Amino acid sequence: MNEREGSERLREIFNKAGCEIARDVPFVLDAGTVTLDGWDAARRVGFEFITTEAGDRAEFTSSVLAELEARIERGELHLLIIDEALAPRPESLDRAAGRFLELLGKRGVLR
Amino acid sequence: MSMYTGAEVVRLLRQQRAEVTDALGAAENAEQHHRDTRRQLAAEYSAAIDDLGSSLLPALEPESVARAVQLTGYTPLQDAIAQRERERHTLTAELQQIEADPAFVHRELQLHPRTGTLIVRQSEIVGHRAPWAEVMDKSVHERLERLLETGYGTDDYNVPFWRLSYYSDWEAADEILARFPDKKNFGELRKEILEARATVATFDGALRDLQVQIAHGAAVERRHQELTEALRGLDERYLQTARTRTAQHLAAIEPKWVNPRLTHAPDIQLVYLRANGVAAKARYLDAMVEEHAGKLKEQLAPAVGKIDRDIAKFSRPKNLHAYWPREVIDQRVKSRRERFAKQQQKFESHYSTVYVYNDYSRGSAYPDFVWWYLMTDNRFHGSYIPEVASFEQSHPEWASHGPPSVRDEYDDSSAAAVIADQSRDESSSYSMDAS
Repeated sequence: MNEREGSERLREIFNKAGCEIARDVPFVLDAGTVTLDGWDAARRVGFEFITTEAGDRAEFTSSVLAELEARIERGELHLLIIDEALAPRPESLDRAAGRFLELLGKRGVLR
Repeated sequence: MSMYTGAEVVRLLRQQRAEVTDALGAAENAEQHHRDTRRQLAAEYSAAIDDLGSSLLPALEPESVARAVQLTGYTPLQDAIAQRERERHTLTAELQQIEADPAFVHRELQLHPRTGTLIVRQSEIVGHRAPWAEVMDKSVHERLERLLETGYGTDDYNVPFWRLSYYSDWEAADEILARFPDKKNFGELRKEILEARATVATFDGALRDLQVQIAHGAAVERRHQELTEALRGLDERYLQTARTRTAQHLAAIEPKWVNPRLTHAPDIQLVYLRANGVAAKARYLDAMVEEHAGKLKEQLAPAVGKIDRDIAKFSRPKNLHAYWPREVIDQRVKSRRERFAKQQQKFESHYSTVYVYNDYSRGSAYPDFVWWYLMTDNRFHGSYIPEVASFEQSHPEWASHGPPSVRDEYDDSSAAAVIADQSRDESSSYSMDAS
């Protein structure tokens, strides 16, 4: 499963759960500007599929990831981060995304 | 001038080639036949050595050994009894050591396949281990190690929920948990898996200890059996080895040195002559095959190549229809079939004469001889065999007249005189053992 296939799959699942995901959205951080694979700016929900093929390793450096994770932890945004090195089978990805969205629902992020 | 066409020359060359390859085939057949004969002779020699050994050494006892050494000069035999006793002492000591080992003493009690204490204990441990091993088998999963290391199912688990691995852990834990319907959550199962691992490790340690003890018991029992068998066969083994070595030593010595020693042991002399004669026969047949077939192959193999080159040359279009002087070609392709046949016939006759010879007792009539003259009655030339050539130089009368008449020239008194001389010479200057 490459980045394009994985991102499309995730966009469909997120949208079914009520999100309005845009693809390849620039996102400004203190550590620099990155492009998120999927982002719903209104709900501040999205996903990032990190692959070598797309050059993500240069973009999503450890300082970028640290800042993103800190902001997720503070509840400022909700991003599912998937590293292709750990990418599961498509059906497992579906279940993971489903459970992520379910958690957001429980936390009141999605209604 | 009468002429051949190139085509006729090619036909004549092909005939010649067929003659040569037939002769080569016959030479190879002779070599093959000789290989079969050699196997028979090896068996015959081995039987003769067995007979000679038994005659020389009825038993490995001081009296028999002393007599065998006196008859053969094979002095290493003197140490055979001491060597045998040293080995008996070593084997007996090890056997006693094993018999004092508790593992051997209690082997029946410990190792009986059904009631042995170690076997029963092993079976019990395997039984106790089984349910814990089943927990481990059932929990096998590619992510299990990670789940245990990250503390999944406990408060220590801290993988953030926005990471995919959080969901992968969740999914893996669900898959494993599904195999254990009696467990409510992974935390409960985790405790059981860890306990199973520790319990199985303990049982495996105990099993390893038991297996070491069982293997040791089996090894000492096996070694005890080996030593017992070695001790049981010790006398026979040393006797056979001593007989073979003594007989091989004697059989390799020329009759002129041995006959004088055996004049008072005619039964031994006869078996010695048989062994020595069979060995000589094998050498002669080897030499005859080499002289006939080996040399023939050496000469004819290049000839085939030359004929093939000539056939190619005369087959070329410009030569094939040209004319060639009959006289020159006839000389070139002169048939050698008859010559080859005669050589082959002569070889087979000589080979067969030597091969069928079995009157080894004749060797007792001559103080110095080589078997060739007795086997062939000096009818065939044998100087291509080194030992025959050497004998001919020192005994030219044998080369010209063959074996002298025993009755005329070597009556009992003269033979006895020669043997006595040999004995005197030998006692001062010859050691059989050094030969």
